[in-house]
Amino acid sequence: MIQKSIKAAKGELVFTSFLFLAGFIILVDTAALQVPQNAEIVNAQAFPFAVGGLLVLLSIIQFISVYRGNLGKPEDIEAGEISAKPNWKALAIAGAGLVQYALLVNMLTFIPIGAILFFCVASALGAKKILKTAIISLVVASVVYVAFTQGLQIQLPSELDFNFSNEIVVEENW
Amino acid sequence: MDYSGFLDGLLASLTLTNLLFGILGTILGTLVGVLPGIGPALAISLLLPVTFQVEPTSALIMFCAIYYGTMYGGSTTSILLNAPGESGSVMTTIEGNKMAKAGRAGAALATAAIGSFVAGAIATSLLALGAPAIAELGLRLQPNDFFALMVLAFGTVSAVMGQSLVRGLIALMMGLGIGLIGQDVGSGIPRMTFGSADLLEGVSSVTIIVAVFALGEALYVAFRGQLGRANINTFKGAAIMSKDDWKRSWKPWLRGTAIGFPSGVLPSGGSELPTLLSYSLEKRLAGKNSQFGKGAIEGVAGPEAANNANAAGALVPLLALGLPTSATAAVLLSAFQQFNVQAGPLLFVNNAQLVWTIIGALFIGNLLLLIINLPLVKVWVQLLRIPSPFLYAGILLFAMVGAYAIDMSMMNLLLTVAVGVIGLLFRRFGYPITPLVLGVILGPEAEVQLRRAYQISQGEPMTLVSTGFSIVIYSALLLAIIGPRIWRLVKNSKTKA
Repeated sequence: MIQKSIKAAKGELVFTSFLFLAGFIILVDTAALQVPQNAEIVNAQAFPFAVGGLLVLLSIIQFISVYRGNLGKPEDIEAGEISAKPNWKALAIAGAGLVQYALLVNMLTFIPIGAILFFCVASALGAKKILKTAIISLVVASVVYVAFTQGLQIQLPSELDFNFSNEIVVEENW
Repeated sequence: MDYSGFLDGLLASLTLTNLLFGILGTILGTLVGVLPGIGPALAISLLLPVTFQVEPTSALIMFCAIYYGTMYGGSTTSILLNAPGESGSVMTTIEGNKMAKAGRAGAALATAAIGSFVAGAIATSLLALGAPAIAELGLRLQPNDFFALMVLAFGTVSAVMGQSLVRGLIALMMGLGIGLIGQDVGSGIPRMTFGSADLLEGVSSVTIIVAVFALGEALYVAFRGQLGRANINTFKGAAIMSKDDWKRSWKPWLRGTAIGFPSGVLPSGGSELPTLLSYSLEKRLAGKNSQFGKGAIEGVAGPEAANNANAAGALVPLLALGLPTSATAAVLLSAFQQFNVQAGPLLFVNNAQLVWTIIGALFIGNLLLLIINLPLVKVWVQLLRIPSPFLYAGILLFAMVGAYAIDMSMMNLLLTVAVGVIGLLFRRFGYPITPLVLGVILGPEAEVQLRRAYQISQGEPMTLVSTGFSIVIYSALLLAIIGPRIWRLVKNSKTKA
């Protein structure tokens, strides 16, 4: 039991350090800003300095608090219960689904990549039958594709595109 | 105060297009309320990029209808499934599910739906009466007053949500930090962009909300969850109440409304607190010989009225002052921003037609919700038979399509995944999400007001506390944060003595 709480504390201490780091980055970035002299009474640095400073301060307080054993309680889940052990495998599968979508959707078109995302997440969350899940994934991705492109006029990638340069970024929303 | 626009607004909300968007919103809202894993804030932000082409009035009507609709839908799962679809329905679960087990699901569903309707109607009337008055007051407020109001919203939401004040404030600071990314509005200087041209425009609030709510939740469920098989209570007959049920319900409805509405107007961070208060009040009033614990209808009627009144109440500061008091209200604010409609005191001057149409649509939406909820409740229940893994996978696919639609870039998708991981970690270590969302959306506006205040006062250091209004607000904040702590100390010392 004690072993377990030490392990949990380690994880939370790492996370708290990450929060500290985020505050520190805000401070460093703000300090490096080239602000025009006397342009404004409260310039572009004041607010970020306050945010970064408070984040650093609060994360130090929190670090000490966690170190003393004041651990955060994991949030409840709407459609189920919290499992006793973390499931790294499921997290990796769901994460992989998301990352492959982010990296590949523009290149390999929406329907297959969207279907893989759906398949990964459904499998990670407990869908057991592989063939059934695969078929549902393809159907859902196809329906979403048609609904968005035909119904809502939102373009989703439909042609293979292996052009890695950023030159053809369409920026119509200016 | 000018209420002359109300009738015009009501009529305008009855045009075919607006009515259709209202109906669509009520259906989507009920759906979102019934399904786990998706709440009103996420649903509206998923629809933001999709509705870019839609006429602002219609889109905003739909969003408000979704907001009201989730409050109705949430009760269905609480009663029939013992799983609240929404955080505001947690209290309904306690007695509602016991009623269902005792074969009184119909009465529980009816008191929830009719109570929501009554509360919604009263609270929307109060909104229509109160919002223009508060907007008029708002016209006289200075930038330092507005800054004080925003600090109040930040402070109370951070204090109320989550497991400790420090955790809440850290979540808020992370949100404010993310809100800094992009070109500074005042000077045009890029901040937190690390040399990336993609980040100059800032991070879209849709990206953040989709990431923390949809991705954060799904990743968290994968990591720590054990999705259960839905165990649906049998429900025969229709959702109707007996004469006795009516007699026992109407007072809790009114009391719930009386608690819910003001707690929505004040920044208290959503519907958890008022529903809890309403439940405890009803339990106390019922006394020892009550049916509480065995399925008391009062325990369903009160909280359900409270959460609907709360939703309407939250629209008062949002419309009148541009001040969101919950995550959903914050998302609605960014919806207004998307359509270049400035929520706040000037809304009733510059966009009177729009705001009265929305208020008119809320009345109609409230009625529509009663109509689609009572007879159709069995249809909604069927949705609960979709296996959860597919449900989450579907929500996530929608989320990633929404994130893609913003600017179609890989950069934005990777950012969404990264922020999703932050959402996962927040859940794992007990940090609240709402302050983060509020910080991202309201932070940039707070900075603008802060700088304007100092600009006007020529740098006078005490300008932030130089008006009576701001002093009252800061005192209220102090009281809200310190008050409960002192109360606890006093209570503890008494029990010890």
